Amino acid sequence: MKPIYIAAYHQSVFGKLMGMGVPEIVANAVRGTCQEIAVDAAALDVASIGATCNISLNEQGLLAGLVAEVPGLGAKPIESVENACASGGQAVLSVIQKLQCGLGDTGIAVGYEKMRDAEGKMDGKLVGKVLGYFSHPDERPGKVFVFPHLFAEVMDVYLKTHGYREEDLASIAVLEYANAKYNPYAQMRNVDLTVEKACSIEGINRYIAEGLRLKTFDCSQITDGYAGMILATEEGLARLGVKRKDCVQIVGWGQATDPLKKEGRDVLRPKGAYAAMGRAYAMAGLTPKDVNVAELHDCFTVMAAIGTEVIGKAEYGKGARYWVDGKAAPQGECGINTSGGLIAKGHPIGATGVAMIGWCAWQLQGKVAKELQVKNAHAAATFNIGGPICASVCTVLKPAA
Amino acid sequence: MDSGLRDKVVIVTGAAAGIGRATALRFAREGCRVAGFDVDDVRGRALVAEVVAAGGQGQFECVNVAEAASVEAGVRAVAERWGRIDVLVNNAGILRDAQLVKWKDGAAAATMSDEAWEAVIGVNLRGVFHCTRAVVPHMIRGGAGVILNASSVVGLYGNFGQTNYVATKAGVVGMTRTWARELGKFKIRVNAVAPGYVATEILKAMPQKILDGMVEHTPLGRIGEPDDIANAYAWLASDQASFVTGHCLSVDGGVVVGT
Repeated sequence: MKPIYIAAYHQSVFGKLMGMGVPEIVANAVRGTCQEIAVDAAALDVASIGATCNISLNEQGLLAGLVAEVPGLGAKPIESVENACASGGQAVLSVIQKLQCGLGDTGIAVGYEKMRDAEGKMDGKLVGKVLGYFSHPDERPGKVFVFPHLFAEVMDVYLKTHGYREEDLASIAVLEYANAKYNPYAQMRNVDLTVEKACSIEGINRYIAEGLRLKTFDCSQITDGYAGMILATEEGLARLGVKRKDCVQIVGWGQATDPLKKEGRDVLRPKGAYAAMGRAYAMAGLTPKDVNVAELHDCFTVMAAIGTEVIGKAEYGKGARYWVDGKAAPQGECGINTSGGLIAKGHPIGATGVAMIGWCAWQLQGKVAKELQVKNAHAAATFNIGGPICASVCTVLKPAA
Repeated sequence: MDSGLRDKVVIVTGAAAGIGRATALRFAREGCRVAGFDVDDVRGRALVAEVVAAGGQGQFECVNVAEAASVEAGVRAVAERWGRIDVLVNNAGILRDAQLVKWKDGAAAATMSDEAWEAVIGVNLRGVFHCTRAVVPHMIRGGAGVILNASSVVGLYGNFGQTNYVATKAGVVGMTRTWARELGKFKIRVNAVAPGYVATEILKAMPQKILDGMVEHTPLGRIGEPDDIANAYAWLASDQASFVTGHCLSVDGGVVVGT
């Protein structure tokens, strides 16, 4: 297989894109990414774009056609991909696969989500409804907010099976909010969160699903944002005028999808997730102990715990403990979600998978704030999921040799 | 009315936060190509993302304006990328407040340190000199240009505990007038803006009582927003100000200092 390099990464500040329309968002993502390395979009051979609520919230389909609207990209192989919250990671893999197939030597993966209105406000009920479309229809009845409800159930199983307290998972959110303070791209940069506050039912913090322990501070954000990543082969880098030493290499990747229905699956040991991560490590020729940077799909705090187990930094059932013990902190054993994660950096769904890889690349290049920078960052893992731990995209990254 | 700013190449120093950030974004909204200089490369790169989102083209250079070589390298990078430089906003500034001599119990308890003096002079005064000196040849070659310098209301009236800062902000007014004379024949306009109290991160961190005092001394009855200053820079850079040079424009809500 051809080595694949990240030639450029660009993202918006996560939070609100106000009145920006979808064509403008897509154009800005491409334009901004190209500007990072001062190339024209015409230098790109292929493209893929991921989003999830583009039809249900933005009334816009065929996003690939909007990518092709960017001067220089028309009449090229471009596709839209959707795998729920793993759409961004899927867009990256889609570009990698095109490059591996010989469709080109350079390509751009774009992910975006526009979940708020032109005033920056969100319609929580509507967002909750349309996100519910990414679950199995049999599992929607009786749930007001389908996804938080499904993950509240996962959280409950995790707490009961492994004997944790709510406070243990709250400590994940506390660390992530603390990290986000130093990430200028993060949505929640100004929130002081303590375990006590995260566990107290007052103000905005409330139980999301009756009888279950998931609270507001366990949840990720409703976020507008976009991210773009230019990927290239060796030949592609030369054409773009980007030096290999300035790049991060995607040394391994894996994708796997489990059945959509949560019922009947062991969600604490999601088969697809473990398969995808295992493939990525095998392709990279690395093991979990080689990795000291990671970005995990913490759509809810419990997923940061499970994700820590999936990437192999903690044994089964020890993921939450890894966070409680401070091992996931920027100066811990492996800096996990130093960006603030989906919980505090924000979760513009389609952009999230791209942004996880992009943030890890910045970590490996020493480009993040000193408070968040992992010392001697030498290899990174990403774990991006879609649906109720259904579709998984995993990557392993290393600075290019 | 067309501002004439579309596609202009604008350098803003101290662009990562506060007035510099607002100014960079203001020029981006005008369709300018904006290069931000700052020592904070993390927030500087995030600014580029905001410039792109505002419709502009952005570039960030990690530059310490107090160091001539750093400035020269940054200016060279901008000129190489975009082939011209049309506007320079010398915004970068720091504070190191201390009384000249703090007198307590019949003796000098403290004085303003050499370090505090040198640091502020380095960024606020020498930085303006370095950047302007590096940029002007590009403007002369381009046939026109606009230099905008950050003075301050305290540069005009003085302020307690700010010997170093006030010296730089008064010095900037002098340089503005001098360069207006020297560079007018090259169609380079040089102006300064003297902000009053503006709601930047430095100000927001101050106690409410002090903020209330600032509002009390401001006839327009509010603290300024970074955009108030950015708007002044945008106007001074625009074609609407084509006959304005050597001027220091107060943008301060009419604040009365020293009462």
